[in-house]
Amino acid sequence: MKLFISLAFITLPLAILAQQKFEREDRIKDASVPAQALAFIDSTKVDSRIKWYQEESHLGITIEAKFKYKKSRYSIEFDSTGIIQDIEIEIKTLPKAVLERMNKELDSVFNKYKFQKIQLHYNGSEAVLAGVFEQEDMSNRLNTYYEIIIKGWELKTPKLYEITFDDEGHLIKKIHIIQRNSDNLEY
Amino acid sequence: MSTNLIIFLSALLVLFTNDIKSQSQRRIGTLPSINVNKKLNDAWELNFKIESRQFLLQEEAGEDDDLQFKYALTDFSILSARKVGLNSKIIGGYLIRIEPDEAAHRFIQQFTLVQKIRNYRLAHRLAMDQTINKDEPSEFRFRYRIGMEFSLNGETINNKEFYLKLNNEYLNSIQEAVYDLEVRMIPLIGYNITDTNKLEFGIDYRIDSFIQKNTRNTFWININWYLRI
Repeated sequence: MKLFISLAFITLPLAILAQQKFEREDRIKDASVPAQALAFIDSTKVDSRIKWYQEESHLGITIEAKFKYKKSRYSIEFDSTGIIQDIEIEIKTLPKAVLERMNKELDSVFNKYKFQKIQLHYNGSEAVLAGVFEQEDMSNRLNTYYEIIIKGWELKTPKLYEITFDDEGHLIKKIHIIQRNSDNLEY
Repeated sequence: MSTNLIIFLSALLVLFTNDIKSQSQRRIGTLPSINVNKKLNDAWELNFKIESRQFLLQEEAGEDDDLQFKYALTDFSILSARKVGLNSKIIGGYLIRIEPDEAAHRFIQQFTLVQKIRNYRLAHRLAMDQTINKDEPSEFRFRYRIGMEFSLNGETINNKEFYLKLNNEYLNSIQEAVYDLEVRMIPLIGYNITDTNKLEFGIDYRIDSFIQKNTRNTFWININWYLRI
């Protein structure tokens, strides 16, 4: 009986596999990064330590470079061949008019909300995106969006959302973020 | 080898090479557990846990003892949790401890808070429990545990990936007006089969009774299974 219980502890967890959306992120070495992506980083003359990641989902594979530059956190996304897709920069403040517009939009969706993280999101051609590291404000030359992580109350229980706004603060998309299970930390 | 794995192996090495034999009691055993969690709605969930202890070695101070397997006890508990914030819960429940010759009843109250900090998670657990046993005085404990969990590869823990978890807990106990402090250090390697199905393995080191100069060191080989249904 005790042997059976011991074996159950070891084998049963492996047999119970739930169906889940496939998403995966792995750290990769420079040698695994497409040459075009490495060349783009070199062209920007960013001298920070770069961490490279490969992200795999049902949409395909992307390569991401993450680093700190001029006290801000950057994330540059490339497709699997190394062609740049977009640049995200974590920022702390928003232009006043944009923030006012955002608050108006959020007031119509949530009873209460709190900003947790703000990212400025640029996409455009490779040549123009390279200018992000030389000029502070590229919003007039690139497609600019804001991605905000918000703790919001639609009903009584707060949830985490990723909300995309255009460059004027109009709400484009709202996604509920499902957080990772923390049973092994709470019990 | 990743930096996090080096830290984990160093923690294990420190625990096992500490010379504790001559001045204290020493116990070694296994501590397997199954945790099953069930969400009832957005605010409430239930936790069922079975945890068992088996001794492999029990040494008194200054004495040698041979390795021998001895079943000690099994705990069955049920807790209900109410979400009170985005990442915080108030939890309460009951545990029954079944030993070969006796049983004890424990009432549990907890508050937990989990913080996501870039590429790791930090968890705080404040707990109180009251243990009642017809043959022993009641024991009242106040506990604080801090835990950290981080990936061994990348910023997030993917399915079918290993991770590290480090717990450190302090248990203040009062029994018949006598105070004791127990300190626990628990380094574990976990395997994330899926987000709702995790296995963990490691050492649960406990030191207690050192205030009364009757130090007892216990090393549990910890095997945990967390399942959410």
